[in-house]
Amino acid sequence: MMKMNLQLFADEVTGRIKRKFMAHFIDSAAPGTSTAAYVRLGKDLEEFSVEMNANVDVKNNILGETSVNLDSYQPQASAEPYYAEVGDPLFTRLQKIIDERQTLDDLKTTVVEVHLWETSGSGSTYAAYCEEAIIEVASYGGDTTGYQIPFNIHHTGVRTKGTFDIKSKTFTADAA
Amino acid sequence: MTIIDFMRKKLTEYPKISEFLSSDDIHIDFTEPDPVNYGLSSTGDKLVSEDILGNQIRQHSFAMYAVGQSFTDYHRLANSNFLLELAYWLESLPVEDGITVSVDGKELTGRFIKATTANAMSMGPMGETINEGCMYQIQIYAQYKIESEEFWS
Repeated sequence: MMKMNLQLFADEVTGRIKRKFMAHFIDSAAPGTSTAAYVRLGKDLEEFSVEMNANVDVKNNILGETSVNLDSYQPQASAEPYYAEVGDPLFTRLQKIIDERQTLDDLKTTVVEVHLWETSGSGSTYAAYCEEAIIEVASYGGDTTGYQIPFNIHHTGVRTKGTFDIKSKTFTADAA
Repeated sequence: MTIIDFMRKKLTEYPKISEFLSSDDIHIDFTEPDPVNYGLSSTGDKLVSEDILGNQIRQHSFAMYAVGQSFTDYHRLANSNFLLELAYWLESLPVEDGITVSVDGKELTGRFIKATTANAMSMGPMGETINEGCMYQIQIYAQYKIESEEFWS
């Protein structure tokens, strides 16, 4: 089922933001491919959160003051369940990781977080952040509901602000 | 086609029911009292789960009532076997597109996922004696998926 009703999506988002307006895309193309092939995450996912895993250092001094120093993040997200579907480019990528037991640079990808409540320019372009990441296949197989490949996404911190066109599924970085 | 239309159509197409219907459809919310007749009643719809894209899996519950001949144990056994085979047939229905849901003037597309059954049983004789037929029921739960009204990919 592939459908895009942009005319329905033209309404302004106000108030509490529905979960579907924070879109998560992952590049399913193999590393080294010139053109990214972004696939939206979320089908069958009732929950998808990016855990920030902040490194926080808390100190108390002799004056009774508390200093808190947050110096880094190790963002990570878990996509579970992920049901394999023939024809899904992300499934092709994940199955290749499993079949070839890929490691290191073969696991590199990029993820894009698109703020669908924040248009930018034309009607199908929205503010977005692109970040480099590593795919970790946690397991494969699962129960009788379908062939599952849950995976984790480890963000590496190389983050770029830009815009994402949901029609062409392309990310364009902001000018420096 | 709503999920109710869909299940009515599917049940009407079940080979062992169509023998008795004479090109009619199964009744909705009504079962004629004379054997052999069938009626499908909708008993409610509920949300099973929703993903972060807004796609929903919903479940619609039905009770199908059937009035069958019940003169002897042979007839009653045949009725129970009919319900058993119907249950197997329903549970083997494949995933199928074609369901539509109308919400606030907007039409959303849906897909039938699966059907499960429960409590297939006799509800008792239709009249004062067993000769007037017995009413049987089978509960049917149809799960279907609705696409979010906004885009997804």
